Amino acid sequence: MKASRRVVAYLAIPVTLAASAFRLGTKTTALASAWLLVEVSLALALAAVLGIAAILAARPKTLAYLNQFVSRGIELVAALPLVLLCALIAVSTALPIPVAVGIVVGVLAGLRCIRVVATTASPGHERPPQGSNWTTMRQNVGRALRPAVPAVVEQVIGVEAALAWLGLLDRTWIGGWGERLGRAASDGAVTALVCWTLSTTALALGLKLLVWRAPAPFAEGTAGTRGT
Amino acid sequence: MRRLLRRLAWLIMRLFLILVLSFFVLSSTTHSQSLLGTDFSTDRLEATELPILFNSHPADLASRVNALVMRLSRERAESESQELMRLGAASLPILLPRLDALPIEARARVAWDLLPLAKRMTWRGADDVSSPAHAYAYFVEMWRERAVDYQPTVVGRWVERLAARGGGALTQTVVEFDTYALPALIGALPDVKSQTDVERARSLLNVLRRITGLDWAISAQCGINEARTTIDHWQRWWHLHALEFTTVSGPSRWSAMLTQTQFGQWTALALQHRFGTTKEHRPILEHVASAGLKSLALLLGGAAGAFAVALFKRLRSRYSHRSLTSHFSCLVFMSVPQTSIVACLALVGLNHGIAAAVVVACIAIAHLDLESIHPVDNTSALPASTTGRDISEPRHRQALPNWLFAGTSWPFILTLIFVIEQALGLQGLGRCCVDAFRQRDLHLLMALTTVTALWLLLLELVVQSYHPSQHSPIPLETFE
Repeated sequence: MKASRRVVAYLAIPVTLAASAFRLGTKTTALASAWLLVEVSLALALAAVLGIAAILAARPKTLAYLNQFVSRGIELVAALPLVLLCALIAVSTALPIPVAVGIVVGVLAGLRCIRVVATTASPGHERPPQGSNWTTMRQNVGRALRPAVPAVVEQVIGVEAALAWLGLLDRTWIGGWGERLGRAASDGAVTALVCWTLSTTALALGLKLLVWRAPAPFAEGTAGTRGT
Repeated sequence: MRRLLRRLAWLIMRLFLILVLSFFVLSSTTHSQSLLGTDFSTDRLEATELPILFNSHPADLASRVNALVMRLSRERAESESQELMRLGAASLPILLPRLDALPIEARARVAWDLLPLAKRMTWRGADDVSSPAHAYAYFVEMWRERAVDYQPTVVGRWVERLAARGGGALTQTVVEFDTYALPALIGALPDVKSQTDVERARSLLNVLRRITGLDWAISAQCGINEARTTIDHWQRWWHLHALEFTTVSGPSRWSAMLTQTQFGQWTALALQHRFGTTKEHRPILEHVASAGLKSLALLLGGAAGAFAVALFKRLRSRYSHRSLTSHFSCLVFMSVPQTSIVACLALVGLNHGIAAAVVVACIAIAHLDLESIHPVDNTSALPASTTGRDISEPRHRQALPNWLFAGTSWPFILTLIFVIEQALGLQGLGRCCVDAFRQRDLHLLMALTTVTALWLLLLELVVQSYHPSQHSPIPLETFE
């Protein structure tokens, strides 16, 4: 059996598992899915913006500065615990919590994207075509981001679940799949926990299978970037 | 040695930068806007009206009195009178000479408003004053008699005598100086080591309470610890309000631009009072140290377990070929969310203290780490130079960053530790963080930030010392 067929065959499993969330109610799942989509889109958009900025700024002379920017940026983001950072953004800007989660995860993904650009632009490494035109730049960013999509989705779900479980904010907020998962864990609702676990597992698995064949040179930075 | 010192200096500078930015974010969120105006009895930064990072016009006693005189010359207001009473006798050396410049009605009115102060200071004849015009004459007369005594050295000597001997007469003398004696009184508060010190503190605190109207006393059967806590409370309050009762000039005025800010006050609080207390009056350092140790045990225990799993997997992958089905099953396992794994482990009954929590952390972090050593990890396809690894390094050195951060990023692993603590009911930093945020406790939140930032920077220092060849201060795999 060809590898592509195998992947399709394997994809059938996540699709089946993902359906488990719908046992908890179509409306609930649809709302949670919509929020998840918003969060992931926001995070990827932020990462893409930072990635494009890095490609535009990546010159041999600026590489050291880019690396420093990433390191210091991570230090600043990581100094405050992630859940606290999300809660602070949500409280101080009155943004919905899922949006705050998307922003934080997006910034971290963007910093990784910058690091990938800085690494691949370093001397001695085969450099991708620089952003002389829009299509090339888009392809470069796409190649840098595509393998990171499963990680970003897992991080969004993980951080949101942690927020819901830790109970930093009132229980009135609603969010994506992570919020449902965290709340199920917090309440000890076994059925809901199993359903959302199966669904999130399926989603992560499906995405990983889809990006399995992602081009290698831009895939660095996806390792060990999962959420909680 | 020089290199180490340079690294340490750089580390301190970065810690400072992180703390400044974190403070800016946290203080904006935790600031409590009181409808009743500024609370002058508070020792909390959340309730102050100080600027966050820079104070272009630090308001000392002189500038406060000048502003009050200006306002009082225009109209009479209850709030101004109350403010004068609060500033007390400390304001008299500045205020009384200025009264001459005011219109007759205005200065008579101010003197009349100051009359309760004269009664508080037990000045003779204060009860006999019957009209505003008489009040002004009374103050001029009394000040002519006493102005020479209003010298810091004179007051300091009386306070020393009070601290040494106690007694009603000395108390009465110091009370006559009112708020002018505050710096000397706070400075004379002893470092309590014995019951004698407790008695000494008691006589000083009685005067402080009478002058300020604040009710932080030590009880009759007070122990040494209670006395220390109360003195610490007074000293923290004084730190925040000292400039309201004293005047700055020369270089002090310039330094006040930085120290008379919320961040400046917090830095002093952190260094001199060990981060102060929580809103529930618990000492922060002890609270955070106890919680931090549990979290650190989880972090290190979990990372050690994950490192063992990583080594095992590496060895296994060298000697055995894995099929696609095996890869797929590993991929399925890797896709299970950490939250679910922790929840399942908690549900099956692993909720008995720190040992069980470390086991859960080992499992969860090892699960998190699997991805970094799985064949789908494309970093293996990259040249060693791009991953920041030196291939000539011994294997255990190559694996070190994985051990330190278990192949994942610091923010996410810290979040995972918080979740584990919550699931197993452990009072670690996660619980601390949640409580602090719910209560909008700036002092505790900043202490937590300091701890997490220090961990982060120290870990980075360790990684750097093992990877001196790294161009970047932070190795790639440390955060990725």
